[in-house]
Amino acid sequence: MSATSSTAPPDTCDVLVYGSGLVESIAAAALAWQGTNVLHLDDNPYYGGLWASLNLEELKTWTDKINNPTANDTPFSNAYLYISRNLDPRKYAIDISPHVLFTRSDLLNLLIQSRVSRYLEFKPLGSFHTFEQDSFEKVPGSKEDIFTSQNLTLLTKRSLMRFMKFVVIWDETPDVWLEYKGKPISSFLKDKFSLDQPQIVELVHSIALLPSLSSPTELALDRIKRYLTSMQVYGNFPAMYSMYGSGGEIAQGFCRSAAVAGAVYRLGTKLSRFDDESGVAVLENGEKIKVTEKLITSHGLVPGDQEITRMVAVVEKDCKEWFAEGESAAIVVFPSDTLDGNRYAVQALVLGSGSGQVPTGQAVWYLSTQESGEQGRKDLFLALEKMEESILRESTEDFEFDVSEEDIAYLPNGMPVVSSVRLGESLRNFTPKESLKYLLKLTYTQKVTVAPQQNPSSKTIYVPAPSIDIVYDGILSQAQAVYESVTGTVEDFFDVDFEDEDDDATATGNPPDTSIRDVADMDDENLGDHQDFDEEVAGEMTI
Amino acid sequence: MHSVKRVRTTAEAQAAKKRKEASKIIEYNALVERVGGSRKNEEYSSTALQLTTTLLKMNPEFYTIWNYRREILLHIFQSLPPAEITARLDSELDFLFSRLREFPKCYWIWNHRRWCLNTSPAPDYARELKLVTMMLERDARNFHGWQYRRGIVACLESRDDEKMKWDRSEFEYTTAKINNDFSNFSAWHNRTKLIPRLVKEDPELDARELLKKEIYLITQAIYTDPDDQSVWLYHRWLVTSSDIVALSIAERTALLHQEITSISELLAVEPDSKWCLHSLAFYKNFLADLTGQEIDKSVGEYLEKLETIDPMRRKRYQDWRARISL
Repeated sequence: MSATSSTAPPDTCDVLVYGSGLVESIAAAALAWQGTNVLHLDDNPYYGGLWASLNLEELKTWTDKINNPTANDTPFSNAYLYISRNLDPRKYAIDISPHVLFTRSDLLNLLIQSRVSRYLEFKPLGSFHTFEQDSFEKVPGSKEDIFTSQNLTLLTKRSLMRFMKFVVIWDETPDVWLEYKGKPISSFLKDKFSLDQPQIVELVHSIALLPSLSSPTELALDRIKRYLTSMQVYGNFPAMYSMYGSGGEIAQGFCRSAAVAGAVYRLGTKLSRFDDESGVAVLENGEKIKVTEKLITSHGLVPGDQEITRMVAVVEKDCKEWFAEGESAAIVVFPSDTLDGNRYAVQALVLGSGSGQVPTGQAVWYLSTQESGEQGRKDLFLALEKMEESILRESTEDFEFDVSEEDIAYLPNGMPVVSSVRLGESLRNFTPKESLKYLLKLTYTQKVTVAPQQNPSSKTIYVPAPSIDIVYDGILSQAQAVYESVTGTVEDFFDVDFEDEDDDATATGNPPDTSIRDVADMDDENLGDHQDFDEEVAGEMTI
Repeated sequence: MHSVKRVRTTAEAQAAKKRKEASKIIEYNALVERVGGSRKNEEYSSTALQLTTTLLKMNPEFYTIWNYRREILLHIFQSLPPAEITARLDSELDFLFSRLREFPKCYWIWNHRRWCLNTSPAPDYARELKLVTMMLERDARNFHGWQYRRGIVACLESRDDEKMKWDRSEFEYTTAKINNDFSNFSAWHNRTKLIPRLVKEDPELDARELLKKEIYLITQAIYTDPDDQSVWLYHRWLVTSSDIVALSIAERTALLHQEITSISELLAVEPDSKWCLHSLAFYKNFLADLTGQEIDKSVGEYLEKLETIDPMRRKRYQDWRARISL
């Protein structure tokens, strides 16, 4: 893609896009395919803007930049960075706004429809854990999980299943929930489905990935449904992530698509001024560009009230204990009130080397909370400590539990289980023989930003900074809103006929096998045994 | 249904499809005539065999042709040494495998496969077990696969000194399948076949303990999904049959009371559950028959309720009610 950036810019363009974050990049691609003449700039030497994933050199520069902002133009602040010596900077891709993609989501549909998914590699994320009684419990997110769970009582199993059957049709049965609209989901689950606190916590924090139990009922129901219906779309996992970085990689994919449609790209190019009246943009090097329609920019936003505290830690452990077989990712949620009175849940996305973000034998932990300031950092450090203890314990094979015979119960299949209360106690007393080596630690604050007050006839369209949510909800509608304010309609948004290339992908809405490459590879791995068998007995057939 | 591609059906595409089908039908009918003729003429050549291959690829349900194919093969085998017969049957199995992948629920393909193994001088049962494991991986509820699996395991077992290990590992296999998705009549059914054998083979095994564990397991399933018929069927086998252990009347009565209590608790939270009501009526009826005591009045209420929530079987419930005069 560097080829396009060396092309001389036109002195006029219909739309100037400044910033290559996810929303702007989707909008740029949609506009380019619609026939708009797009010039796309980014002041950084890399794609992704506020969504970028950075190598260690870029990360150092980024840290300096956000700690010494030239103007009020970054939602990030208060960065503390530690990097261990002797790391190869190019072997890391640190995601500054990490996100995961549910297999049923508007963004994934667009990725497939626009064929941008072909530029990307996705990997499965099937492991969701909740931190309970000092251990990480797997979230029961399916009928099979509920059936086989050893921790749930019979009546809880029944209540949970009743809820799960309801939630997949919640939007068709408003009589059940309408009176709880805007009210806390926890009350709804308790009153209407007699669910107990541990199940409410798992459903809201780990399945819906919401930071607070008092999130509005309709929002939580929608997100729980999304989790459940995302299962089994491509395999036994509800979510995926793009390799080498999340939103930034996807943004780059859309930029590539835009370039195919004729958009012109220039990285490392700063926009100095834009005259909203005349539509003249002046670049840092003095070049002038006449913008006939609109400027779409992610710069110049005003910080709002809400903020999120983030932490990134790279550890010298593969963390495979937390991953499902064949996977390289997990989500761990620390519910509210599990870390010395934390008000909001702490979410942690754990990625192993299979993500392409860290070298073999290492993992990167992305922690975040909606708690702000010192308290936010304190919550994250406590969560980090718990994760450290847990991974050391789980990866230490000769660890002996301090439990006696009466703490052990036997399941019908003869498997011994330790009472979890006692287990929690003995885990608290566990002192690891080794310590965990941190290769990188970064903490920073991210503010929600809002567009500044502006004249309705203005030529400038502001694009909001990445949401503080770990899912891509709302991204597509933001991009569509930008598109609409340029073209006046969203009806032809990415209405592109790709049929000249390959017939079956865009028309069906089903992904072509090649687009979800890694997921497809993984399926083959799961069938590995059978494939051998195929070769043996039926050379003529292929799966 | 995901992973199935939607085919666009324009009028033009449909017409093209029709034309294509028409020529296929002509081709098929000609082939049927030809194969029928060669069977009448008692042709047992390789050419005749090849014709059945083509025809069976088009229509694997045509069992007469499978019969003819076996006649041809047996004829050819008469002049072959055992090693070559084995080789020929191996390629036959390859052919069948490709057919099974396309038609996993066709009786005649499974039947022919069984014949190949019975006919082979050196059948490879281990390979067959691998095959059927794969077929059940693709569809865990394919009862043809389960039936075939039982046959293969019986052959492997009869050739093994450690006979018990097969029933044990098959028992584990059904557990794994059930944990994956318990809505599986075949897996539960296989358990009803395996458990009596396990109990018979292993004098160390405490049958009462095993029954208890199975009841625990099925109760988890019943509470997880009371609308699933397969779990109730297995539950009924556990509670009423003497296949696992011959309980005394007192023990059986206690078991029935225990299960009636458990299902009543479920009914309290699922008052409209057809299978809860049905099972309670059945077990209370069964209990009365067993003890010679009067049938519980609530059975009449259950049946009355079933008439309204399951109107398709209204007459059946009425008949039942009349029989027990409630």
